[in-house]
Amino acid sequence: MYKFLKALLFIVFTAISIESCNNETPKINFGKDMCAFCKMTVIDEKFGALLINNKGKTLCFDCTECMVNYMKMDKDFHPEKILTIDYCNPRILIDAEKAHYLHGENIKSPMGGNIASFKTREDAERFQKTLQGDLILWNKVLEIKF
Amino acid sequence: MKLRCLFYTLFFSLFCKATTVTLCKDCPVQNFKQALQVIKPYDTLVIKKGTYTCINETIYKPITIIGESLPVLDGKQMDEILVVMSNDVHLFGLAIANSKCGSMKDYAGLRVFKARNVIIENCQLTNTFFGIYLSDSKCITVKNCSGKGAHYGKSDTGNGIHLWKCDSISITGNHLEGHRDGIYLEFAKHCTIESNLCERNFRYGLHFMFSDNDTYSNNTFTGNGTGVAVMYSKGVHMFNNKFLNNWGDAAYGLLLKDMSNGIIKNNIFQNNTIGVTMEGGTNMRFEKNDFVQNGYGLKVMANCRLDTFVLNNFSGNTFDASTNGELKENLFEKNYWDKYEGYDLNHDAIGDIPYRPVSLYSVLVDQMPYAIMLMRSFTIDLLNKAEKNIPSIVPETFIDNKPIMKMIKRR
Repeated sequence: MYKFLKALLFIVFTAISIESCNNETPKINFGKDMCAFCKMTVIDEKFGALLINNKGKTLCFDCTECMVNYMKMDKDFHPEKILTIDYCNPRILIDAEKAHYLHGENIKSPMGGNIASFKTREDAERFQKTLQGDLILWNKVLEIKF
Repeated sequence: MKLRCLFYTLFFSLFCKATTVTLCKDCPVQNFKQALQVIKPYDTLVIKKGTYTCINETIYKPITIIGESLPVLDGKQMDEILVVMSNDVHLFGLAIANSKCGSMKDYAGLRVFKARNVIIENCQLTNTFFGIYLSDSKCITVKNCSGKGAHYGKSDTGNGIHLWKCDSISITGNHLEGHRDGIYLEFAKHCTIESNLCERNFRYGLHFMFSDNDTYSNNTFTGNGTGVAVMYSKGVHMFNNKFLNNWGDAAYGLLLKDMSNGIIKNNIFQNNTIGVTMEGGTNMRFEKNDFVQNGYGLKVMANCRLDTFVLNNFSGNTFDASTNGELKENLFEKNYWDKYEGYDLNHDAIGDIPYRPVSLYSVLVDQMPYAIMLMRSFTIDLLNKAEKNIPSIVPETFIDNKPIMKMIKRR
């Protein structure tokens, strides 16, 4: 009996320690997660964003404009990682500060901010041909009033 | 004068000739593309029973299309199916099926673009990415149509009826199921949404964004992913709707976000995790609604101002109301609360002592979600009782000074 308990304890502890070491990159649960700013369910896989602070707290957004609005609203949240979704690769998160953005009225992002993010400049230019709009970088995105 | 007008109309109508083109398997016209080329403006196209291939066909002429015993226009999952780009097009009794699905473009079963006076009636959409997509259009009627989304139960599907930059649209008696949002309005003004049934949609039954001065009434929204969301809109009126069965982590009957000057009257909120959640609502009026058997009846955030809640029934909710701070300038009056334990000595049907709908426990749960473990326990009952007698933690301004003693009967 004692042996059995010891084994059980061991299993439980290993399970807990493995679980707590789980440090995989966060992702958005489409159709389940709620946007931290607009409270909408995140569902459009071409748009979406994540903020992670140094303690590992993750905030989920349905689009870049919501994330920017949130960052302006909540100055106490110090994000360590700012991620956004690559428009050409739905569901794939990229570094928002290094991304290229296309801003124009033909881009229908969920909250009407008309902005899409791209990993490479070539992708952004390719979409600019059909969608038009302006090519901008992260510092300009922060200046836009959504 | 009237007689003369009538005479002229009759006289000139002799010279007007509207012909009918028939499309069937044994007719001279056998495919849909050919029929659209043959047909002249203001003619009628009758389609007999059968399946016809229709891939991204565009109607440029004002015509009427009548389907007899539901002919199928099949898109074969290649592209969009039917596009209307002309005014005065009437479509009756068509089954539109199998549009392409994709995340880059919003493929629609039936798209109406820059048109006026279009009537779509008794149409059936199956396996389409977006169902009916109206953009830049005015005066459109969508009546008695039904839509069932592609990828039933998966997240990558479009909206049932999608409105973008529209004006004066009437959506009546439709049944929408299995889409992302049942009905979606963005920049749509003066629309009437009536007697629709939206069920089991992936996200919202009905979704408003930046759409002002619309009315929706007599609709039923049941079992949708997260209920109904009305956001960033002014002057939206909601009458006699039913918001039912939205259970889940972030699910609610109705979400109001940054709304102003709306009226919410005679609605039923039943079996939802949260009946109504309101954030940033100004000048909203809740009147004669029933909040029945919800987790939370009402969640009003502290940034709501000048809202009125009168003559509502709250019964069988786990928590009648909850908030995240001090509510200011909101009026609660003459509501019925089944948890009210006051008395009425002067028999005027109004309780003599005020009622505070926010219980201590709901404040606790709001700050520490895991406190839900203690639900319905003796400790909580004691705490709530103590708080009721000496209020100190619950928001002071969230108060109904004239609670009604008996449930208000409707209908």
